Amino acid sequence: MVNTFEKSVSYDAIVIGSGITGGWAAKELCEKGLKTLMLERGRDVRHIKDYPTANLNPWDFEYRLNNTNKESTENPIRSGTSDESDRMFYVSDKEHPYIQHKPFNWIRGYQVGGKSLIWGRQCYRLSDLDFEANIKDGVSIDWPIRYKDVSGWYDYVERFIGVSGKHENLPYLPDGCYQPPMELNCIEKHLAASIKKNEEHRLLTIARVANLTRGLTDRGPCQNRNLCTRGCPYGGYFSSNSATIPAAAATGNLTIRPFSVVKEIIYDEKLQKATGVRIIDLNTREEFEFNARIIFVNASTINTTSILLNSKSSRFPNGIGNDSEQLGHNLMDHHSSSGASGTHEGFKDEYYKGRRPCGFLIPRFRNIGKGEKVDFLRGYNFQGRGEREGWQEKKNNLKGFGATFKDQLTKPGSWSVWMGGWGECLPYFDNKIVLSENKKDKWGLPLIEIDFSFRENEHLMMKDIQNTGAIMLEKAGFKDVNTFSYNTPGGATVHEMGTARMGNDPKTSVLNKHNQIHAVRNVFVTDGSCMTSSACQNPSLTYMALTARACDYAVSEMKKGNI
Amino acid sequence: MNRRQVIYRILGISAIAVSGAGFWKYWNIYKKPDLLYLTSKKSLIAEIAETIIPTTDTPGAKIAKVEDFIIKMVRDCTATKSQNNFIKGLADLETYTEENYNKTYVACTVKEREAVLTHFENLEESHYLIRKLKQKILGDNFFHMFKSYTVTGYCTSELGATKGLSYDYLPSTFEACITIGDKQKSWATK
Repeated sequence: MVNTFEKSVSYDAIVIGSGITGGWAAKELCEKGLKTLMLERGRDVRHIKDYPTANLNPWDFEYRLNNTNKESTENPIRSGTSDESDRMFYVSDKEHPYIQHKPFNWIRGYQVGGKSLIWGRQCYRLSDLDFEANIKDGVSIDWPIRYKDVSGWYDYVERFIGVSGKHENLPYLPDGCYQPPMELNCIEKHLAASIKKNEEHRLLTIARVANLTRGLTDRGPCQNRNLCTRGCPYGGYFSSNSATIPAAAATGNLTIRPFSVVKEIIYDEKLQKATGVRIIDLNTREEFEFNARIIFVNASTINTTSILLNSKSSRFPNGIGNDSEQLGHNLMDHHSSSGASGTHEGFKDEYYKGRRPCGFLIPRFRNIGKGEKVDFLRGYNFQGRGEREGWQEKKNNLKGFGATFKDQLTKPGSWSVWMGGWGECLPYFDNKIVLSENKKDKWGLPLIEIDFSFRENEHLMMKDIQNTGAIMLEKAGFKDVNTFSYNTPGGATVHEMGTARMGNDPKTSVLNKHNQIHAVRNVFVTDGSCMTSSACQNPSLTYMALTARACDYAVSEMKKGNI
Repeated sequence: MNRRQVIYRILGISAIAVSGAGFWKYWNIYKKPDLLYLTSKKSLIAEIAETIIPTTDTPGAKIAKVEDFIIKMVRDCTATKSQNNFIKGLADLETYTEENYNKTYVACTVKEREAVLTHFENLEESHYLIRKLKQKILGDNFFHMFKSYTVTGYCTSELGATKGLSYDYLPSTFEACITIGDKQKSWATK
């Protein structure tokens, strides 16, 4: 991998960020022959070499994967999602503070590879049900693209990253280019059969995930260890580190500069375009300027928008590309904190071997033009898994002690299914981020203020999730069916998106249909911040497809001399 | 317990938390925990853990050194209120054993030890809602914590995971449905 960096060199392209979309931008631009500088605010993480915990056993960790009081107190957000085994890939709340107007779990990964090291790997396509939703419901603004604009890019991305999954022939959840699917276990098959028998327009299928069931050149297959967030020494799942960055580096066109905190994008009033990027070295706090013909901003939703907001000039006093005054607004995150669970008394002589790194999916069935009326817009899918209870559950509810207790503790318990609803969040103008006017971080950059809450539509959906989840489990003969609502704050699903939305009209949107800033044609934004609505599908696949598509457009425009 | 009784008990616990009458209790749960006492009771902790998960045809808690894990968890990973509950619970257990059996826990037979633990397990609140509320206001229950840490410590130890349970370090493949017999152990990790 190229790691040297020379101050004097001017580049064809700069990519800000090295996560799931930054990696794609770098790969596409480098492969098209552009000398590309990738800026990353955190440290370098090299594939395999920098996964120090990947092969450790539970007993190799001092606290056996429990968080200490100190960690929970100093880093309440980080400790809620990570432990000793993967903490190094999550940002410390203490070191990188932000301001929460209402509780918002902002989960970040500041390193080469970003959150692509720790993502959930679910890969679902959006469809025209999603792209047409805003215009049909009269909510917010219309998407400037439709499924036909991205379907080929979905193909392109899926083939490269490697997605295992099953074709289901659903118009509202299009099939893709899949490796052989992972397999449902017996309780999941039982639930699938019950849903098929009892519910119209519903089905249960195996998750579509970027874990390889067949090896690709240099990567995989997945070894079913289910330790993905530590980094995979087998390259069993897709990350920037395992796939796109090596591909970009192989062209000889890539330069990576870690420890580069982007301060602003430099705008030239005469040329009416951006000329480069100003950064602060994370360690020395020295400022540098890098120039390039095009700039891709892929710093992750909230950080991307904060860079744009902080890039002020007399042409753009409120942030580059912010003629619409929409920049920072319409922040969304999926809700995934309500659902149902239950146990089943059957299948006592069946078990599984191996730790499949995914669960199942019940695709959206609300408001798909079929079925019963509901009191909310849009919909949700269920994601869940079935398993036999182990010591992790029994430690809290198994009575007694001694030899009998030990025997019961160490034998597989009842089958159980947990499933949660991943629901669409509407874009609300006042769910937003702004830059603090007086509070600054260690590098002198304004702290980010986040003001976000779920509203009535999301809460009505959560209620429906609990009811329908419980009914499906009861019909399948589950006992002790419980519904839950963890009431986790926004950000907890780590699908934060919006804040620099795409649209047809420059008066109401930041980006055009090519993810290009309307008024600054050599700046492209292709991470989650570009989203016009959230749909309910896990979004990374769409970000990657939009990135590859925008790179193709940007390079063809450069060739035509348009940018 | 009927609905009305549950409500009265919830009100009672809340009252303890806010009233002057509860000050003693309040001080007892928020004071700086006596961690020296905790570490001095390492062998007692080891024996209690061994009563919970004894050596049978597979190793027990003591040989897996679960007491070291329990002490570490109470010291570094347990909130102050619960730390105090744990330490007080341990002292109560010593006193209870002396008063009822005229000897230390370590000197008790397996039957006597199990009777002592039964007493402490039965002290734990059985009503789910009240248990949750108590936990929230007064911290975790001593015996519940002890048992939970013992199980975690054992099942994540090398001996516990590989001998007491089935540990599959590198599964390679996933077999979705396999038929098992009576002897099948649970997987140690998920």
